[in-house]
Amino acid sequence: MVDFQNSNAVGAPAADITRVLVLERRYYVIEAIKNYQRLLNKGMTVDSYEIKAGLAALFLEQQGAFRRNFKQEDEFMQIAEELLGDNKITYERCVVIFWKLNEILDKVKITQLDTKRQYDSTLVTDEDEEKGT
Amino acid sequence: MSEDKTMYDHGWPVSEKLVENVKALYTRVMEENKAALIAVDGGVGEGKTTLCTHIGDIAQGSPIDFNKQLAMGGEQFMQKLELCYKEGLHVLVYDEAGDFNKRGALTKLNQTLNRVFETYRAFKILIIVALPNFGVLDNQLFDNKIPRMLVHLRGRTKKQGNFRAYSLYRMLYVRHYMKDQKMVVKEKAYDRVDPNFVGHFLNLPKEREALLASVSTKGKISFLKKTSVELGNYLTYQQLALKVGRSENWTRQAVSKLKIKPARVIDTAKYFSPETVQHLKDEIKRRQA
Repeated sequence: MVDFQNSNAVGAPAADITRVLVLERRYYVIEAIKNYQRLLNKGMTVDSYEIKAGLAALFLEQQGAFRRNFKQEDEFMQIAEELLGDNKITYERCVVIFWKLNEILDKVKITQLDTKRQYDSTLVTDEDEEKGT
Repeated sequence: MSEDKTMYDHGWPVSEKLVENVKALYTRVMEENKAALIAVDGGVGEGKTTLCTHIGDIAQGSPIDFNKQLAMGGEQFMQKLELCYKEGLHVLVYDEAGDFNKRGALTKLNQTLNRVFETYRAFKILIIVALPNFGVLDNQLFDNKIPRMLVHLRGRTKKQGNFRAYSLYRMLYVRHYMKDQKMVVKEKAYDRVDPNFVGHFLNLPKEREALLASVSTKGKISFLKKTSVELGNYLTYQQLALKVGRSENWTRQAVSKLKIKPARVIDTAKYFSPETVQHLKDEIKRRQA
C-alpha cells in the first residue's frame, strides 16, 4: 500500500499515487483469483468473497474512469450494485466483471505496456518514418 | 543451385525483401513526390553495377536501357538525366566507378547530386548510385535526407552476391562510426550497426551481361586511353602552344608544316610526343634568324 505517512508519498502527484493504488487493487484481485483456482483445483470448497471484495475496492478506486468508459450507464450501475451490495456473486460473474474493468484499465493506459508503435524494421521506409529520419 | 541461375523462385534475381523495399522507395518518389537515392557500395568486383541494374529493373518494372539509364561517371550523368527527363524515364543508375581517381571527382559528385535533388526533384527520378564507399557522400545530402537506403556488398561468391541493407537512420550510425579515428578498418563500421535486412543477388543473364559490359567498358576504355596519354606525357595542340609561347593556331600550322605525326589519336584529339616541343622551338629560331 502507499504509505501516506511517508514524505515521498505526500509530495508525489495525486495521479501517480492513484496509479499505484489502482495497480495494487488490481494485484489483489488477481491474487484472489489465483487463490480461488489453487484451492478449487486442490479439491476444496471455495468461495468468491475475496474476489468480490477485491473487485469492489478496485471499482471504487477508479469509479469515475469506469463510469466514463462503460458504453452503457446501466451496465455500470448494475456492476456497482453487484459489487457494493450485500449480495453474493458467483466466481464466473466476478471474472466477467474483472475482465471488463481490466479492459478499461488497459484502455485508459494504466496497465497498457505495448504503447510503442510496432513497425516492420525490415522496411527502410517504415523505419525512417518511425524514427523521423 | 546452378551457376547459370539468374532468377530466384519468386521471379526476381534479388532477395524478396529488397524487391519490397525498392518498390516502397519508388512509390515514395512517384506518389509522394519525395527525393530518394539508393547507395550501393562495396569493393571492386562485389557486383555493384550488377545490383544497381537489378534495382533499376525492379523499380522500373522492366529492364532499364543501359544507353539511356546508366551513366558511367559524372560527365555522362547530367546528359543522361536530361535524356531520362525527356523520355519520361524515372530510374537512373549512376556508376561512379569511372570517376574514382579523378581529382575533385568526389566534390563534383556531391555537388551534382545536391543540385539534381534540389532542381530535378519534380522530375520524379530515383537515382541509384554505385560507389566504393558511401562515406564520401557529404553532409548536405544527409541533411536533406536524400539517401534512403544503403546496400552494402560484401563476400560475393561464384554463385551469388551478398548484401546488407541499411535505412537512413542506420546509415547515419554507420557513417558516425566510420568517422571514428579509432576505426582503422572502415569496413568494421558496418559491423557495428545491425542491418535492416540481408540478402543475396544473382548474376545478370548472359546476353544482358554482355550488353552491360559493352556499355560500361566503353566508358572505361576511353578513360584508360586518356590515362595512358597522361602517363606518356603526350601533349595536345593547346599544351604545345603554351610550352612554346605561341597561339594554338600558329602551333597547328607549324606542326602541319613540319609534318610532325601525332603519337596518339584518341577519338578526334591528337596527342604529340614531348620532343615536338623542341621541334617547334627550333622552328621559331629558324623564323627569327
